[in-house]
Amino acid sequence: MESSSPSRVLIADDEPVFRRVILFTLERRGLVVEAVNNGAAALARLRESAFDFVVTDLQMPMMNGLELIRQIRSTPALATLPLILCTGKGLELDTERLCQQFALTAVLHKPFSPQHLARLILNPHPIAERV
Amino acid sequence: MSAKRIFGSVASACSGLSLRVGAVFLGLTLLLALFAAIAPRLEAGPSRIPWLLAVAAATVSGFACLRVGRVPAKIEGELLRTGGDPQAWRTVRPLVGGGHVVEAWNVLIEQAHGRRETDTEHLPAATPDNQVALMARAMRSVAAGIAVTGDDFRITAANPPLAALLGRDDTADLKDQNLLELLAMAASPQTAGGDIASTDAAATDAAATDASAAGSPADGGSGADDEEDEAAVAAIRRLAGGANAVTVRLTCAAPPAGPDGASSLLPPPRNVWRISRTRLDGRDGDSQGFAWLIQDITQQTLATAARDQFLQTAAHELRTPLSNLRAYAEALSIEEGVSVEEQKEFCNIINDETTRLSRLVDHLLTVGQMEAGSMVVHQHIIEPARVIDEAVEYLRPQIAASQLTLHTDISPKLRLLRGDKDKIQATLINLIGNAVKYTPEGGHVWVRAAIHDDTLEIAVEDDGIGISPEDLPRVFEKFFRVDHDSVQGQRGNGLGLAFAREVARLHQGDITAESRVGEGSVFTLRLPAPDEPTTV
Repeated sequence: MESSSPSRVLIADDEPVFRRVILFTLERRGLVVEAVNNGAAALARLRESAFDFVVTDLQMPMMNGLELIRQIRSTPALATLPLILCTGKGLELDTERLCQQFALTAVLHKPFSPQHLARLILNPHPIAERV
Repeated sequence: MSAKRIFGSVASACSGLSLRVGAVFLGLTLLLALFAAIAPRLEAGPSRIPWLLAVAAATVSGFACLRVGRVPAKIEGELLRTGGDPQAWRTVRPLVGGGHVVEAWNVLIEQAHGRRETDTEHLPAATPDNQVALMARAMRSVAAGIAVTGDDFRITAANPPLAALLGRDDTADLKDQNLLELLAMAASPQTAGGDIASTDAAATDAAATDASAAGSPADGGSGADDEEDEAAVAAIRRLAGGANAVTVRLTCAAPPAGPDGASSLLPPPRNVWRISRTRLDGRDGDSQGFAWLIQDITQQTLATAARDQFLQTAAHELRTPLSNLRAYAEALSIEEGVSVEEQKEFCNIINDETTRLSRLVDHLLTVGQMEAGSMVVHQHIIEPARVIDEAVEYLRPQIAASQLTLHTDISPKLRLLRGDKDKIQATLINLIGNAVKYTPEGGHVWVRAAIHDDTLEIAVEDDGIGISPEDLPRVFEKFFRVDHDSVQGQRGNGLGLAFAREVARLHQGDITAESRVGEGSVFTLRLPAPDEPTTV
């Protein structure tokens, strides 16, 4: 990943209020951010242009976050794209398994700090070959 | 013979039986003597012999009877003496002598005395048979399956409810069947075969399976089925194990599809049983099999699952405004160089989210009551026209802000209602508020109220965006919100209509909805309004 040119981040979340603050936080740190409100739109966008990072909510209309992640990982061109899942689901979700199964950078539990999200995107730990 | 024994014989001889027999023959003898006396005088000598013979015969018969009746007389004497008194019964005596009757009597006495002595652990022999009979009746009628099996799990006794649970018509069908196998069949017919045989060896395996039962939510339906089958197998293993007392939950296999083979939209709920097995103690402390109690806890399980589902959804709903609050508050506190406009905007958003959160908390409390079936309906006398007016006034600011036109058509003949004024008002605010929220600027909202057939009908109509046919059946579900970008302003929390319908039903009424996408919706609240308001 080129560290000189700004990273392009795609946000998928159905809450406009939440999209606004995430955009705000990430853009002031030099990231180029686009936002969509459902998984299907996200997938379409990913097929049109290249992104360096995807942050997705879990519950969205038309295609939820989990399905989006599955589709991304089964697309050869996107198999190593860094992914972060955000969710309000809490401990009911087996996040450890999800991280391992889909090689996610992280699973963030709402409410989380947008600054923390920004840090994760800007300084990602290299993902070991888990596939 | 001692004086006591003479007295004893005389006493028994004077008992009822001998008296009766003796009396008969005495009477007979006297009769004969009388005849002899009043009959014409007979010559002395041979003509008197028949009379003498008759008298002699009568006397001899009398003594013979006394002799033969001696044993019954004694028995009667003992019985008369103890007089049916349980205390005196202890002093009843066996008889001395030979003959079948005496032997039988002595055996009877022995039995009576013998049983009494070894029965010390039971209650005093007041009515032991009544107790046993009552317990037997209770066993037949109790709302749970009860069975007694041997150590090999073969059924030696079962009550009718158990037969019903296992799908048999008669408890006789169950005799000598292996209860553990029957339970395994009920749980998962496919895996029933091999598991019972492998008990101890598999016990450690079972422990491992139980521990890893965390499961994966990502797998979906088939995963859940596999989990349940594994749980059933583990449960059967525990029942087969060596513990003295075991209680397990068993989920039964799904009931077969309907007669036409078509599957319904939702899978039918699987029955859940709670099975308790305890060791039956023998009289000498050794094991004599097991006592089983099987209860159908399907309803409780469903209710618990529904409650858990509700709590999970509620927690998730709460996290959404919370995450907004956190994000905006953090932005305000740590970000450098935030413009004044942005600061104001963020503060407004925080304000709005706080309001949203508090409305959600309020609604959750009411919904929690709804779930528990504990929502209380207070008793007031309600003037429908006034309640509608107050609801409309409450919403005036929003109506004005959206530049909507509100029309009211309230019949003058509305009757007084008995019900919970606050809840009905909240319901109306909800219905009218929805109409306002989902109608674009410049639109119209109508509120009509009239009495039809002893029913108060309040209809709220709008010409707003309407509800699609897919969403319409679901609008009254808890937490259900229509996915719509064009919804302006605050998104609701999906509880308003669920609450409204619950209130309507608690008043023995209902709410219905009709709608066309792009044309508008009509929500109608119907409440019984009899001439004489009765208690809700």
